[in-house]
Amino acid sequence: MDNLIIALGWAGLYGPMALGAIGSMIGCALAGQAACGALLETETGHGRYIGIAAMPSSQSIYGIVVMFALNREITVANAPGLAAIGLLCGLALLFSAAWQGRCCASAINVAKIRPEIFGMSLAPAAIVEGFAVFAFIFALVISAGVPA
Amino acid sequence: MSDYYTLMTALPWLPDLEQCTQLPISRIALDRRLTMLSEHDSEQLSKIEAVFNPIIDQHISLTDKDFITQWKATVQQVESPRMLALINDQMELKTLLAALRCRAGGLEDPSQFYGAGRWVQLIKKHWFEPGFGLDRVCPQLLQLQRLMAKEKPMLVEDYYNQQLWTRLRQAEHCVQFSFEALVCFVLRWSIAERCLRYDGDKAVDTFNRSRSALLDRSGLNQQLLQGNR
Repeated sequence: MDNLIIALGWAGLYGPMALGAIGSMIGCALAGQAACGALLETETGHGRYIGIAAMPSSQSIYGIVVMFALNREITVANAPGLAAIGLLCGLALLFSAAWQGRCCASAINVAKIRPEIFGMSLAPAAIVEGFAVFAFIFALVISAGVPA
Repeated sequence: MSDYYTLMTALPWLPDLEQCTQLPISRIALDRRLTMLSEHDSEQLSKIEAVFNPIIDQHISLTDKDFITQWKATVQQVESPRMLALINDQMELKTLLAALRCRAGGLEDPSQFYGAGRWVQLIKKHWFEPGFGLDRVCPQLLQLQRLMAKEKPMLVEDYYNQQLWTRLRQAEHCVQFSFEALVCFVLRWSIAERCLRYDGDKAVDTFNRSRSALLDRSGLNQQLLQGNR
């Protein structure tokens, strides 16, 4: 049983990084595909489409930071806490990155038609990013309470 | 989930139908973009296009009954429930229009009328009522009747196209970056293309060809010729 608890602790430690990276892969792939389509249809502004496509990569960075914040010697006493914080934070990062990718794809699609609304079209993606930041910050705050 | 992101953003914006003075993309360029589709999706798209925009020349020789039978057979091959709903909507509108035209043309026996959709039996049952008993369930009917009373076929056609356009655009907005959204775009493109292609001389030419084909089929020409002799 102890081994299982320790394994969960390791999963919690690596979870934010791995799940955040999976989310970033999905999000960047969706937005990147949309950006590629927009390149075909537009003459200028290609750089910003590619830039938007990279937005969901931030969740991976948050995941890395949370992983370092949780990094400590894993014991039976702290493993459940690490698992709960790490896995839940990782899931939040995964979903936010994947859905942010969709927002970015929509932003690319409308900014291609009306470049003047480029900034406004990014608002939904920024709001989703905000939720990822909440998950990230509070994971850091709560990680302080997990025994070392 | 991600198959249509590149393709959808590679398509240009289609403005409202009444503002569409030229096509933003040619059929050749559109077809080139559509090569990104899988073989299965391409087939589905072709089938949906075939039922949504049947080529008149291919159906001149068919009776209404045969046309409806053929239409039903093709519709069964469409897999997307959303597109099926849109196709049925279009056919119901077309059926209403056909019923109004047949009645205005003097068809007295409703059993001779063929159509598709929920309302065919009601239309036949209430053939001699102004709104086929559908005034309340189908608001488009009143507008169609009003426009037909003005005897301006182009207004009726514009209204019909506008109705289709609106439904397709609504559906497209509901399902962004999907196969259905792509199909809605292609169908809207074909409506815009058809509207921009309207040409009085060509219409007369098509009418004459249809008339000749129908007269030949019915044997009326031979009877007239024999009568003249």
